[in-house]
Amino acid sequence: MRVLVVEDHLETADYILSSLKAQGHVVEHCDNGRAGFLCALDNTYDVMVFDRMLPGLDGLTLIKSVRGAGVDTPILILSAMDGINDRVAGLEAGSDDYLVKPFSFQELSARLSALVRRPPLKTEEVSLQVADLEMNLLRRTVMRAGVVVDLQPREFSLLEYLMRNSGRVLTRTMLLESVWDFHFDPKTNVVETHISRLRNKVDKPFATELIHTVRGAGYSLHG
Amino acid sequence: MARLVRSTSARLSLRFAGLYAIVTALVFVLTYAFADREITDWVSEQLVKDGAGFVALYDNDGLEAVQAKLDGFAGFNFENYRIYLLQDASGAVITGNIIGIDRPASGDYVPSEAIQLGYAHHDKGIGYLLHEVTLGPYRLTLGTSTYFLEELSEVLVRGFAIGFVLLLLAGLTAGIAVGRKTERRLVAISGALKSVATGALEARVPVSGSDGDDLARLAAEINRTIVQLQKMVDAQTQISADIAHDLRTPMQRLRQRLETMLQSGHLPAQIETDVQAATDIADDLIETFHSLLRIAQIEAGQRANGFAQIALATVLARIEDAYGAVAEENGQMLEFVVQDKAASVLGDQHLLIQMIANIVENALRHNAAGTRIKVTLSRSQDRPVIEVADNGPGIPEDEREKVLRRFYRLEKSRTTSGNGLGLSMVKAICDLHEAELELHDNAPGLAVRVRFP
Repeated sequence: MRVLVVEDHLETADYILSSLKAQGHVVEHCDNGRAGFLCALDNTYDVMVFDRMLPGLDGLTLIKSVRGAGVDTPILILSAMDGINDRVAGLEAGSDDYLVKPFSFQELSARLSALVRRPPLKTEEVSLQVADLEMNLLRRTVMRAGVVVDLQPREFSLLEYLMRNSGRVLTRTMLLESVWDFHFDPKTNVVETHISRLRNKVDKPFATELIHTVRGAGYSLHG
Repeated sequence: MARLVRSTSARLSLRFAGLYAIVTALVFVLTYAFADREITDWVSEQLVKDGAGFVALYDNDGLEAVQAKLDGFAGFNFENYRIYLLQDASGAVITGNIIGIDRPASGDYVPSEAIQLGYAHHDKGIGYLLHEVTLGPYRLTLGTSTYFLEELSEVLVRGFAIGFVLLLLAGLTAGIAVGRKTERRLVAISGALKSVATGALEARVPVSGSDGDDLARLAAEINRTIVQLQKMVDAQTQISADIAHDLRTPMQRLRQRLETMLQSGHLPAQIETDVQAATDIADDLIETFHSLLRIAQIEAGQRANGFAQIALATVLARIEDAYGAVAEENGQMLEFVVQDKAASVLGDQHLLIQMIANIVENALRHNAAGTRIKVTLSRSQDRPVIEVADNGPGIPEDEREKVLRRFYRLEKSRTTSGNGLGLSMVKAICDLHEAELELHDNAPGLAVRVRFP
């Protein structure tokens, strides 16, 4: 994917750039808000990363300007301020996700992948399918290899999120935010417990595993 | 009104009204005594002077002249204001407007009963001041009624009573008016201070009027204090932000280095394990750092701006969704009882979820398998209450306050993971929502109660 990184802190920028490049992504870097704005207008990126505090034009103003210019590329804000309110302000300004420094590259990478838009699903999304796993969103039923899988409501939500992002790595934090609306780090293994239960129902009775653990990063569902 | 009576100025004016009453009564008594003495003296002098006049008349013109003059006076007599009695040596009445006197043993005052008028008295209770002179063989008794003294006291009493009532009314009215005005200004001051207490340091006390009275001076002084406070808080916030920024960058770098090492894939197995462990420690450090900043932010009350009406049953449903399975895996029973489905509070949903999650997680983590944890949403004294109660070992009474402190951990829980910030976070979120956090003995176990406003 093509990524625009607007970050004035060179060491952080270098870390993001080299890691993204190592994953095979095409990356461009601007070290101030004005240059970032001009780059963003090219509108050729899959996703953009903006630092919250930038010389020239601060992050929030940059997002507003970019959105005002009609660019709808997904944006992730990086913030050194542990802004609880900042997060809301960022999302309101038009960003799509928010990550507080210090962050792990895996977290950033997983979030960026999840932000990249996919071609919209055919018809109104009534069902999701990954390999032999099928989910009917209307009837809220799940079948694997023709066998009905009985899920609890929250297990269903978790599986739905995994299936909608199939092939992508989803971190623990992303799962907590999206599935449980938890915006903090629980001290008990909420995610692990639910993943394990889901595996018992979706994977264990069948020949192949669909839910994979990505070491040091999170989980990914794919065939 | 009750509030007004309690107000300082109203109390002051009442106290002054009381003081006025005492002073008024004292002035009345003194005035009366003084007037009484002066008038009595004046009347006595008058009688002595008249007596001397009659003596002179007798000496010059004889008895007839005295008699004629007395008859003339008697003709003008008005309600026995003055009495005259001229007797000879045997006591037989020669002339006068009365027929006899029971003379007092001493002094020159007789009550009117002692005067024999020859007809019914109609001025009971009034006495006479007497004076006697000797005219040759005759004896002349002159007297003046003291009814004017009674009348004087009546006038004085009436005057003072009316004056006192007017004074009291004026005092009260002024007191209430001043009280109202003062009350309004005090309400403005306490309102501003309340705002300051909730973290709105831009609040200022209105400095009413340029007259510079005591309240205006107090308001100005309070404003100066708030400005000073704001400066200090700003400076502290700036320092915290600087520290946070300065720490964040090395932490980011530390984490990056460790991550890069792990990603290189060329590490010997033993070293890779160590680097992974170091990464986990770095993550714990970062998490503690985040928690501290978050608690500080919540305590600063910044988040109250985005408050909305939150249904507490929904919050509990989220907790149940997340922790039901965790409890089952732990072999613990996590039970939810919603007695008040409609309970809602003005708050921040994410923080409320985090608060209850922290309390439930404490119960899950510090209790053994087989423990029963009951989460109840009820209403008590018309306030929504969420209680998380377990039947585990509980917390000794003398430790219950301490566990709310930052980084405080019970001796027995030092072996479990965690940074000791969980309950501090809970307390901060409670305070932000003006809720009360109580730790009770569940006999056995611990009951954590959050009482919402």
